[in-house]
Amino acid sequence: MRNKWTESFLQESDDLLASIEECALAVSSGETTEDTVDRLFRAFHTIKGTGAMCGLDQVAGFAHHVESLLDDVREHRVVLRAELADLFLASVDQIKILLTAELTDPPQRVVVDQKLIARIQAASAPHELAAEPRAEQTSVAEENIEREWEITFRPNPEILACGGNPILLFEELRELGEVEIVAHTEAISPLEQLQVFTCGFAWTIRLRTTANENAIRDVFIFVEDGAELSINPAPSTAAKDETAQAEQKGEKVAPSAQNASARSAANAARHSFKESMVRVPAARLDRLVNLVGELVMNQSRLAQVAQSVGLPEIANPVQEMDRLVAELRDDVLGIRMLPIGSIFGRFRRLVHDLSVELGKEVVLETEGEETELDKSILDQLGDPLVHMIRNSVDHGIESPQKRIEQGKPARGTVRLAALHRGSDVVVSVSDDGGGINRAAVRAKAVSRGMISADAELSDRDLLNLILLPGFSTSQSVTNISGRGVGMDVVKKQIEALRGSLSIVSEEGKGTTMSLSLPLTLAIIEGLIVQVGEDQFIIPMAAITENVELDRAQRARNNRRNVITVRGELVPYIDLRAAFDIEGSRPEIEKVVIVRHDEGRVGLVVDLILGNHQTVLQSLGHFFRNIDVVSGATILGDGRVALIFDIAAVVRYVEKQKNKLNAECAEQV
Amino acid sequence: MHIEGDSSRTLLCLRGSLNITAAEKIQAELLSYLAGGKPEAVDLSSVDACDAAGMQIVLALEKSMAQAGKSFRIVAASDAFLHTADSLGVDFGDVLCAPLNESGSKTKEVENAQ
Repeated sequence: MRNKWTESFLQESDDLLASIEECALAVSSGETTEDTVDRLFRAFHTIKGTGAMCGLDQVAGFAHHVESLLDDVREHRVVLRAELADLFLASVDQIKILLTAELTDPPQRVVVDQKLIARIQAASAPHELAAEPRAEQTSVAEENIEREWEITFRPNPEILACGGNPILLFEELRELGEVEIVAHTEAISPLEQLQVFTCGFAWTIRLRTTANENAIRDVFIFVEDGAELSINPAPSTAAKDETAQAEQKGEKVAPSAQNASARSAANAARHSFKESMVRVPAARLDRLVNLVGELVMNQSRLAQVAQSVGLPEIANPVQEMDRLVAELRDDVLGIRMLPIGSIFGRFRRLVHDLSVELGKEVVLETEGEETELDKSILDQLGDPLVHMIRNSVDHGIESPQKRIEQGKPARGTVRLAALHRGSDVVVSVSDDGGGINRAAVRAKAVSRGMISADAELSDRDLLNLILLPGFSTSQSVTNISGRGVGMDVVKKQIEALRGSLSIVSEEGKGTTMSLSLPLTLAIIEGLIVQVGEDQFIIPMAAITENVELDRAQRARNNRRNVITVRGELVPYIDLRAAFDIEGSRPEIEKVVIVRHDEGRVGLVVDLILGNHQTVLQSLGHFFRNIDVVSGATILGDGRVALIFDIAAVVRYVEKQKNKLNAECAEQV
Repeated sequence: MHIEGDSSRTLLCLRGSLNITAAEKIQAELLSYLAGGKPEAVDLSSVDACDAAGMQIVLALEKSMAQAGKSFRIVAASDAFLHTADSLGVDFGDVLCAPLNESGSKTKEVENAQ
């Protein structure tokens, strides 16, 4: 059985592995900074140390090999080059395999890839020493100089409660050289106020050693989180050191000192960021949102009752409560909002792997990482985006040779962007590849019997054919995509998120697929409408306008269910007929015009009752087959109102119509 | 934890392990002792183990005494305690001094059996 520390490590390892991937991809593209190798080293070191502590010996043992290689890189014994990135990425995969095996119950035993270990060891081979003589000289020179360092360390106040022992840290420092430790005890409270498990100590340490800054920093590696740590050359000796260093390697010393202070500042910033974060299980957050949802609904009912009673003594507090509940709702939903950039990271790895596999040069550019979306939407957005990016790299981007022939740069670009548009977030995947070949799409659709050979389709309708089930224009079925499934699934997934998908493509120049998504799924701004005795909610975001429909207009269009709205014919769906709702029609009906698939469609209702902001509740297991509604809500008077899923309603009506037509044809 | 009281309560003797596992207990005992009288000196010669949390308690005791306007002295300390103080860079300076006169001292013991 796993203990809570192992659980915590398994969760933390996701972040560590994501950080390794990010750094490895930076190495691969040659965009490394001073911090990249340190971040890689620390991530592997933490996986090794914590893994060993949790009894995950295979993980710890494997991480040790990579850590040794990174130590060589850090000490300039091995040159950091793009090929190492593949080793780091393969190592991430290996650790994921080991952790997945550990996650199964009971844990499975898997064999560590010995070839990978051999490759890692080969990369650390001594012949690398000669690769960069200057670096080697620097390293040797640095190691031979005994320097005095000043370390200031204020541990995370939780260090004692977490089992940390400062005495052991200082013993490790003593192994590096001569130390002089001064404790600062000002922050320790008098006995009456003392929190015995909270550490009030801070220290200033002078260390005289031949070890470099990295070696010193490693001593604090497991206690750095939430701590303030700075490691700098001691002021009294810094000037002396500078002279000594200047004699050996020119101006390199000053930048080194600057780096140290910059790094220390960066660490401080990182720690202050970490300190302000709290990790909360998503399930708890969901429960909180559900509770707030219930609260909002009950508040709405209370407000309605208060209004009907008409007592000012009740009306005022209810109004105030209304304001507070609305504020609480916004804040709670705000907690669930996450930057979309949090899922962008994994796409960099995807594009990297796909480019290698397909022999194409592709770079992923991202924009709008800070755009926020509800966590529940983000969780479901990953798979559709993976498919779209695969399509772009596989079908969109041409081979380097073909690109050069067409006067394009050999390296293709896939661009992943997110931005706010009104109350929606638009996420787009664009590529500068060959674009969608209309002729191939048409030919395929004809051969599959989806359209007739002489069908006249608008450009948009032609492009939308690729979103139909079973459509694939790929000449060859690859491992990446082109199995004829996918884009229709993507479309369905996006529609299930109350979003829409659109395609723009220019042959020879590229394709852009855009997903338009609501900010949140939990709360919906809707229009309450009535048909017969039933009330429904139509999502406000989709509504463009409302118009009236009288009997004369109905008759004028010969039951073709179209209405003229400012000179343009808009098809409408008669909800009463579509859902067999009883009761007589009013003299004048209302048509709610909504956007659908870049077009418009009307929904005919008896009455429009007003706006309603509501919390979406799922219908539950027994009604899971009802796909024309996305959920339900309870209205102020306690009645349940179903919330329409516009795309599903249109699909349902079209299906009914096709069925009817087929039956008529059979009878004829 | 075992406590033996006396009437004058001027010398406080801590025995046993002064560490995080006993920290809450030691704090409670000391606070209860402080409420009954103010010691003038502490004998740490029977402390057989001490960690950072234990050291913090001694320093907190010193602060409490200072706030109450009392002087604080450590009349004796074990090697274990001194080693920890040295390891953590805690300098007690003048506080660590010679024992009180035999005549003036009465002992209060705070003993931790752990």
